[in-house]
Amino acid sequence: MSATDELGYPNEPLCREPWESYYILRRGVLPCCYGSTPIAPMAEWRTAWNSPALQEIRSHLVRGELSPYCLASLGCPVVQRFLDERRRSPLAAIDPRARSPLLRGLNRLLGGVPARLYRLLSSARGGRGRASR
Amino acid sequence: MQTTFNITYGDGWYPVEHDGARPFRWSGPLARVRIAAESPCRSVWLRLACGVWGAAPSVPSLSLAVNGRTTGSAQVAEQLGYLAFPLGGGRDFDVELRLDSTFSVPGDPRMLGVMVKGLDAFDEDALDSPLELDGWYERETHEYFPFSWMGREASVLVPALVRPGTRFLTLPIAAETDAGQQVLAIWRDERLLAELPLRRGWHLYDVDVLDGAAQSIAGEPASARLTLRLSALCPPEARPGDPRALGVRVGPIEAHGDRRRHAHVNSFHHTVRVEDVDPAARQSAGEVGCGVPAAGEGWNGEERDERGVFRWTRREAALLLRDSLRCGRRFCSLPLFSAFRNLAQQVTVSAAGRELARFDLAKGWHTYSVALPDPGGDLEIILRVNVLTPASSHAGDPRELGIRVGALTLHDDERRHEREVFLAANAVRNQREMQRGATVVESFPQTLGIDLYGRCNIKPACVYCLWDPMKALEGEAVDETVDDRTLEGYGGLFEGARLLVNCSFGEPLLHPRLDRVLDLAASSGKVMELSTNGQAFTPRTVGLLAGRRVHLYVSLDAASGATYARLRNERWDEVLAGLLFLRDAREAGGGWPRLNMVFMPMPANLDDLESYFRLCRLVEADTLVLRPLLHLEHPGIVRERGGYRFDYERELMTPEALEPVFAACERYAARYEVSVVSQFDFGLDEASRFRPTATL
Repeated sequence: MSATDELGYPNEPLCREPWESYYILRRGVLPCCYGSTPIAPMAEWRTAWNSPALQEIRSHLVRGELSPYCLASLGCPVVQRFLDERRRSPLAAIDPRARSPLLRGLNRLLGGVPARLYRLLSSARGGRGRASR
Repeated sequence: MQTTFNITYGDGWYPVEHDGARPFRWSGPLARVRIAAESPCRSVWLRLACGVWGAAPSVPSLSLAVNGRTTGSAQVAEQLGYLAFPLGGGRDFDVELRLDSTFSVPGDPRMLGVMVKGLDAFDEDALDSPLELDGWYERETHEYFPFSWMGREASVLVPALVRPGTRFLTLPIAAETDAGQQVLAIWRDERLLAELPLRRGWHLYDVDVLDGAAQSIAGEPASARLTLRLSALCPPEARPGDPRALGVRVGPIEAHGDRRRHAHVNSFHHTVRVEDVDPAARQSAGEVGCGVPAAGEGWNGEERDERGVFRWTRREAALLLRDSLRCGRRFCSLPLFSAFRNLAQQVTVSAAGRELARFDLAKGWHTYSVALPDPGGDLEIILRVNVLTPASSHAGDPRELGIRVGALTLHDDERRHEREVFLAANAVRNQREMQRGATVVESFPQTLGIDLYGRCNIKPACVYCLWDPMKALEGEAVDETVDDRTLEGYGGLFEGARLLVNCSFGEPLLHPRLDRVLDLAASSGKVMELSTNGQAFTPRTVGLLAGRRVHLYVSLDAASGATYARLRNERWDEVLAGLLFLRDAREAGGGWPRLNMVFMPMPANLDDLESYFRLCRLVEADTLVLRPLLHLEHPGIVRERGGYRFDYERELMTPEALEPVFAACERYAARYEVSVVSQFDFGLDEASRFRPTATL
């Protein structure tokens, strides 16, 4: 058993922020400091802590996935690392979410077949960290 | 624009020699130089870096004649210093240097006059910054910024046309003596402009050069020659091994016309009495700090981490609380650290065979409060952990490690005890809920992000700031007041938080109720993190912050006025003055607030990287924080500032481009003994868990 296993790291969700932190800001309520868009207006700070939006973020992280909210928060280093890993993946070439506009256009021209193929291959692999959108 | 001079050494000079660092030449009793300007000049100055290097039995006097006319004479420095002479106006100058005595050294038949290491001519009208004339030792560059030692008296030429409206001088000065032991008088002709009681270390001083005069410098035909006179030299014991008669160190002198800056820089000297900041006064009444446990049964040696000093326990460790120290106090605050992240570690606290408390330990540092038994002599407390920190997590360290124990505090404050019990219990509950994957969470977050103040003192905003979109996003809440009353109104969300992190798009130190907010955080046992742009360190804010448990993150990203101007504005000197006073206030405040100096590496500031480490050392920062520029997809932010075109997208550095930056940081960290925290490492733990899937 590794040191991190013995210390209990595997019991944690992919990111701890939505449990440990909460940001009540003028621009809105955020689950972490990298949150791109508020999950609620500032005035709704009382209810946003257990709002459906935050629950959804937590449930993805518990499953070892990044939620759509997280994946849209591009300033987050965890997300950046995830996207970086994905870019290096051989499947990235046919990933419709790869950020090249050319590939996105090509995907559309081919009726979305590359995207479907990518999803099929990804789901066949399963596992953590997949983008779940 | 600088004027170019062609300088030709004539007769009377010995051949060029080299001391390993730079060339020099000795003159005989009479030496000639020809100086030719590219165009006629109204007023030219000649400055010699010269001396006799301690080799002459007596220091000679050097007289100077220009085009056959004697213009002045001066005593040569015993070691190496500047001498300056006005050459007058014109284009061609035949200069004759005559020494009143020469000497020779054994084995060298030459008749030596003066050793010249530098000979420069300056067109007074083309000067763009003040020029050190005589009385200065040669400029040194190995400190935080270039500086020159002055002797007892030195002069400086303030050019008339530095810029319209110029009337102030900012002088960075470092004294080696305590406050007031050296006083620097600044004279202009026969008029005393200022008397500055100097403080130990580097500080900025700002002088009104026109004080009492009717005319502005810019309106005068000629430059102003100022004389700086010290009341006392630096004591020789402060600079052992240095034979020079040294006064103080003076950094680059800058002329400016900004009245606000003048007032700001000087306000520290007049109003902040950092000596009066008593960290004990910031503590709760009646508490006593006991420090980390003294060496005894069950303890490993004293160590330090990012939180401070601590000791590891073994499986069991004994704490002796002397009755004389306890004085009947009922509670003990114990900062404990567990490396476990699954609540598997527990500590039992007992005394005289009776269990006083048992705590599940949340990961990291938390304060646990123990109600002590009734007083009655010295009290031995036993801390016993149920499980040791796994040996695999400290490979190479054979010690038996239980938990870390920090500096404990005894007090009699029941509300504080209840609060600490609540905070620790909330942290455990929060961690438990997270571990079991609860999506509806009944505990409160341990970190509460707050938005203290929505206004900023940097206008236009910093080049990379997302000010406009963020203010648009704030919408109706843009003018919402957030203060101590608001924070208390957050109820459990506030009470359960151990850390308050301010995330304003605005400068928190400008908050009108900053004192109340800091008081509330202190009385609630919270630690605060405040990010500041460094332009709000005023006597008021520095005084408020001194001794507080606040982590300041100062976003400068620059170590020079020029780079700072690219990213923000031209108030670099104010920032530096504030940081220097903050340094003193922190020293008086027991090291609080902690100072973290933020640097976001970008092509715009990479040249300042090493200087930034030196700056961190100068201001005695706790850490240098390397922070990535926020990743934005197609940011479309391009701004011209400080002579630089800031293109956000191009400033985002790739991992490959950052590699040499990190390597350089490692070298500089060791060289300047500055602790570095890299926020580029955020997410590494998490990344290790999605990597297997991502690399198909």
